[in-house]
Amino acid sequence: MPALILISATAALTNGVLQMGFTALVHRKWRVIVIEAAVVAASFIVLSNFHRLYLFPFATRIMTYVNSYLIASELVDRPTVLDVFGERGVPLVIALAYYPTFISVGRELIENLKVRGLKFSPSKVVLPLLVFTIKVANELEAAYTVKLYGKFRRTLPKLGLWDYLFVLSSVVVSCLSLVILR
Amino acid sequence: MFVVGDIEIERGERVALLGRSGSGKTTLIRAAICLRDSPKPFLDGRDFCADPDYSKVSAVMQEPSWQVLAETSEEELSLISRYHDGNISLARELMGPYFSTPFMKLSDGYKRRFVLSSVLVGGPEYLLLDEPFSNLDSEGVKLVSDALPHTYLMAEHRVPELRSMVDRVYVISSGVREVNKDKLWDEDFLRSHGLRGFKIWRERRRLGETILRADIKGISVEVRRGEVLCLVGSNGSGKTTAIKQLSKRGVRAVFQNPDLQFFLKTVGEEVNSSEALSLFNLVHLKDRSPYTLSYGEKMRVLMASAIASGSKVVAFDEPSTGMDGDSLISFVRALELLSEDGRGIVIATHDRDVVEVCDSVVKLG
Repeated sequence: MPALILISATAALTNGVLQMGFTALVHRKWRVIVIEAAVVAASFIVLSNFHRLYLFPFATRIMTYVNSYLIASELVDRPTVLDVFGERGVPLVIALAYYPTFISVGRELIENLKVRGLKFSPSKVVLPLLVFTIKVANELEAAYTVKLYGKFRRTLPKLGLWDYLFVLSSVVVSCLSLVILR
Repeated sequence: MFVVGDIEIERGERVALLGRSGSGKTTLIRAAICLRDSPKPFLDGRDFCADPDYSKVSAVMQEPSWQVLAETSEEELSLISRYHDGNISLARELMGPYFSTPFMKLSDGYKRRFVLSSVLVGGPEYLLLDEPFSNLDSEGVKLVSDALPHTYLMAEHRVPELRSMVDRVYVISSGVREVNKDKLWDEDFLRSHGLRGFKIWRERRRLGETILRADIKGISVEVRRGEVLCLVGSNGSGKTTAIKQLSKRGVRAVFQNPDLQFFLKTVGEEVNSSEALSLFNLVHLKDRSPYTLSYGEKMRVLMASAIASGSKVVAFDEPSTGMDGDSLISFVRALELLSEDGRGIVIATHDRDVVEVCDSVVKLG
């Protein structure tokens, strides 16, 4: 988790290319990587044609943040998030648990639109998604109340070999990125 | 003793709470865990909400997917253990080999066990359950009922399953009142109170020519004009996949969870046919948002929209999930309308009440 925060933070200080590549290689979702590569390439071409290449780092930074979210939602050891952030980390852990649910609901909505023979438009999807979110929040409130009673007990984080390696490689990537930029 | 409104539960008692959809069963359960102001719950004579102790009274709400706090049961218990101690071995036992399996990969029965186990680790003396059997096949019902503690209040539509499980019964119908358990076998009582468990009948007609031929999971299926064909099988046998396949062949499909199938602001826009609106008795609702309707009304809007689409065959995926008796009657009447109109109907279901109204049945899995 500290490694992810470090890499996301340094992406804002550099052109973000290395951070984007590194985080993409960590989550290894090839479809996402292909889409990101296409988006980055398109941004590069469009921005160079309009002589606005100084805006290009924003594209790579966004991809870094998307990748960091994907990593956090699937690869991060959630008890460690609680160890690092304490009770403030609980909403983050729960939010990460809902990532697959919202992905599957998004897919279902798109499929249902097709079945209904309706054309996709963001405004059509927003309403059912909003209704769904409110319903989830309602039931989640009940689950949160009855499951997480008592006082939060924080334990000291225990870092393993992989945690150290990940932190180290993030530092290397960040430093390398800064050096290349200069 | 735990008391909420007119409901009293003694330790060791298994109590059913019945009522139409929207009658207030969920509201009562939310009040019992202090998420609403009234009615006030009392535990052993004391106001429970003055200092709520959820190790004594707990609840499991209706939709398991919306109650998880972590991706796996193991992770969720690790989170819970930071707040209070609990019997983790009980959860491990209930989840069996699926203790570390991501929630989204579990069967429907184990999804229910997931949420149940994380509440049971706290060892509550009183457990409140909101429709724990919704959308479960008989195997799933057994998985869940075997995991239940000795004292509970269960709000549930599926009366036949409750008959052998509960000691006492409350019904919400202009107020909450206790009724004799024998009423669970009284068809007139069930029907008049909008409950499930009575035999349902559909007017059959002479079937017309074949309008759809399809291969479903290696089984050749033919649907005739006016026919109601049911695809049956346990959870995970491929019924939903079959309906999705049919939808790609021009069949208008209606899936579970109506709220994810409305994309327009009013019922009138959703149906887009005055004839279909009047056929399904929806004219008075045409300016309402479909999200504000009851479950039965939502299903009628989807059916009206299906009929207006002009598709010769309409398919339904587990349409009776969460339906009370009134909605079931309304659904069967709507099926009669579709059949009368010469449409073919395919229904994927494991609900015995729905299978009763089918002209033919194909078993999957």
